[in-house]
Amino acid sequence: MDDKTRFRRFIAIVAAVLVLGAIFVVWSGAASTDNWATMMSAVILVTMALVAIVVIRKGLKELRSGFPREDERSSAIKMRAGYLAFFVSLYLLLGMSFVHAMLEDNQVSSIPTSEWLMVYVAVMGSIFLIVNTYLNRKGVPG
Amino acid sequence: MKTRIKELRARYNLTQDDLAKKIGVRRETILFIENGKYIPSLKLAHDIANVLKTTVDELFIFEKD
Repeated sequence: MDDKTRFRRFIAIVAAVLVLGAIFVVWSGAASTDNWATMMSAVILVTMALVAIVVIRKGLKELRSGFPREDERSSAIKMRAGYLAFFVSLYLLLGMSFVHAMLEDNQVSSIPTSEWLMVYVAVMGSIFLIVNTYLNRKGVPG
Repeated sequence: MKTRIKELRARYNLTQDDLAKKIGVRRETILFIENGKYIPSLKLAHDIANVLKTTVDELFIFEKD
């Protein structure tokens, strides 16, 4: 598969995710009286849309320049960033579950799981972006 | 790790862009390899050596830490 086809497929997936996300935000806003989760999902969706715009613009520029969009170094960086984001957010999820259980044991009003998950997804995405940008500038260690 | 990529590029009058396009990698990859900040795979090292008409041994100088 060439770079153009891969890029078109990437844009289609991004568009589908954003449309589904928008439907979810509208649906959860209409169905729930709790505004916090809806607000949080809207913030995540807008952030995703902004990141997508930046990535797509950069991708188009790269396609026009004649360089490949991905090579072994950029794949290694993505793997490293994904690995770090996964493990850091996994530990965060474990910590959050622990706090959640403690709050429930002490009969303190706990935060709903859907809202924990929003934070989890936001943290995972942020860690990936930060590590990816850092390694792109500094190089892959080892 | 040190490399002689810069020196050989100059000999064959190639820019980082030219070398990257010939091998099919991004320009940044050549930049990072030249600066010793990225250790390429054996295949990429071999491809670079081929374009610069040398061998991997001649191109990369590994130093003990």
